[in-house]
Amino acid sequence: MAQNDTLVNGWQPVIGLEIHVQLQTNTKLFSPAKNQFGEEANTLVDLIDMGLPGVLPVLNDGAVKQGIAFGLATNAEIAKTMVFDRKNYFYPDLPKGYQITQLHYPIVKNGVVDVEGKQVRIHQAHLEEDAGKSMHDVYDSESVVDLNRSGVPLLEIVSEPDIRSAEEAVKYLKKIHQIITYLDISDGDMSQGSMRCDANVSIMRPDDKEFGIRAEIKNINSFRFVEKAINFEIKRQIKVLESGEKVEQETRLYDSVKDETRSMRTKEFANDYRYFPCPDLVPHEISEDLIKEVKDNLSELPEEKQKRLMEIHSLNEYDAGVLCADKSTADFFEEVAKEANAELAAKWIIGDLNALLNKNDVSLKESKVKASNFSKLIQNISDNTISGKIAKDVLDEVWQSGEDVAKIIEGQGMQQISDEGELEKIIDKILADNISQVEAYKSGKDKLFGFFVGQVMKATEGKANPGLVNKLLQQKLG
Amino acid sequence: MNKIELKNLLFLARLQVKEEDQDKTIEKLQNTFEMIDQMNDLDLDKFEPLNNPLELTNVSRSDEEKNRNKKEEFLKKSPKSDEDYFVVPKIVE
Repeated sequence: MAQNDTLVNGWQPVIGLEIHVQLQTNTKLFSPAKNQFGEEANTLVDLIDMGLPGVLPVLNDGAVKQGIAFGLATNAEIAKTMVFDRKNYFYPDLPKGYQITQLHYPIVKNGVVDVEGKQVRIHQAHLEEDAGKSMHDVYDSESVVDLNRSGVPLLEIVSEPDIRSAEEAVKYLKKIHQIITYLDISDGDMSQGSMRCDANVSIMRPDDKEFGIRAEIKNINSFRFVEKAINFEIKRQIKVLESGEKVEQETRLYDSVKDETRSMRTKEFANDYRYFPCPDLVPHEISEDLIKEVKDNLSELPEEKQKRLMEIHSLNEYDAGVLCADKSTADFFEEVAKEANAELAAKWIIGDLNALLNKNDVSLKESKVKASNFSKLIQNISDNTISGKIAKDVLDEVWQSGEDVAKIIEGQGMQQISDEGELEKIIDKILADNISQVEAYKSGKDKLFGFFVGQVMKATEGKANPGLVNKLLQQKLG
Repeated sequence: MNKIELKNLLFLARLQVKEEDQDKTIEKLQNTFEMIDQMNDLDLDKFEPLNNPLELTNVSRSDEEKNRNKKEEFLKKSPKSDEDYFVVPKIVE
């Protein structure tokens, strides 16, 4: 690197992320209770999730396969034998008093992902159980606990400290999000907590041999907050070091309302989790056959999908890349392109639809625009039923109401006028009303052609077929 | 092992030992640690750590749901609950 533009006031930030991803299995990691978000409290709780005496956890094969899939997608080593450990701590949403996780023998080790040309290494990814959910605002002086989430399988993805800026951290997080959603092992929804992120941040002078002391920031629940929290923390550490003090190794909480991180130093004692192999679970060997089975059924990854869209739909690399950045967009495009012109569909998704999504900060899934309806819009544009200009109005209407495209066009009389006879009548009247302009045009003022087109569009409220208007005007103005 | 270490250990385990019993407890624990410490005298580098004494591997199940939820009964068994939730002491500072 010739120039290092990640330095902040002469300091080099060093960042590693720990990303927790809720896996999309049918059932929990060690119990057969349903794994589902948003159900009535405490209805998806098994005896095992309750931590009742005498129950035994049994590993879910589905979670193992999803972990292997992630390993394959990140060119990682898949463990030949993995072992589960107990991490001991007391908290009301952890009924057993320990979390089952993997410390020394994780399912996945030494992976790597490409983040816009930069390699970010993955130290490991391990399987573990999620805790229940505590809520503090139901009663004044007590908290309440919902154990539906207790035992939901998590894959914790731990990066090496290879990231050098907050912006790069967001890109890496988005890459992981892309991989897990393409693999269909998680919905990656940060707002619902199915993807959560902790950031380890330290700073050093560029020529220092060792990293600085790091702080761990917890509770970052959106892509935007990752960037803000890390940038705040970098500035805080610079201030601390430049005033001659030392950064403390500690856990800090990000407060998105105040846009700051603050120390969680409330305990007298340092964390002491007393990890040891979970005696309830035996080592789990992963066979070559199982890895092959997962590999053979691996979902299409972003790069493959991009290549395929370029081949099948003759899209250019850029358009295909934009569509494939997010799996739901790529799937949406494919659905639309089944019936409608692919290039036109790509243009409208990347352009007008994306603009609406960004402007309203809404995801495609949340929006009222459905693929089948959007497909009708594109078909109506390509068969000249409506003009591009009208199509924008129709899209706005679909955005607002989700109403059927055909109904909007019909109901509001938006169909394009492609009837030559009808258009001729309109054009004749305009030419008759603007004799002086016609004379001027004929004597060489070519620019006036646009004036006539504009008049026709005005008279037809933008519904005239532009190609036909051009053709007829040229004939008549000779 | 000293009193401070014992205090830490008791905190982690959420246990209490009466003041007058603490010296005896320290002595007992000390003996236990010494017994375990004998392992440090052995050269174990060439052995893989034993993670489980059972000669078993791969006890697992297929990803199929089984509903054994008894919400009312579960809630009733806890020290305190309301209709929907386990109720616990306030846990935010």
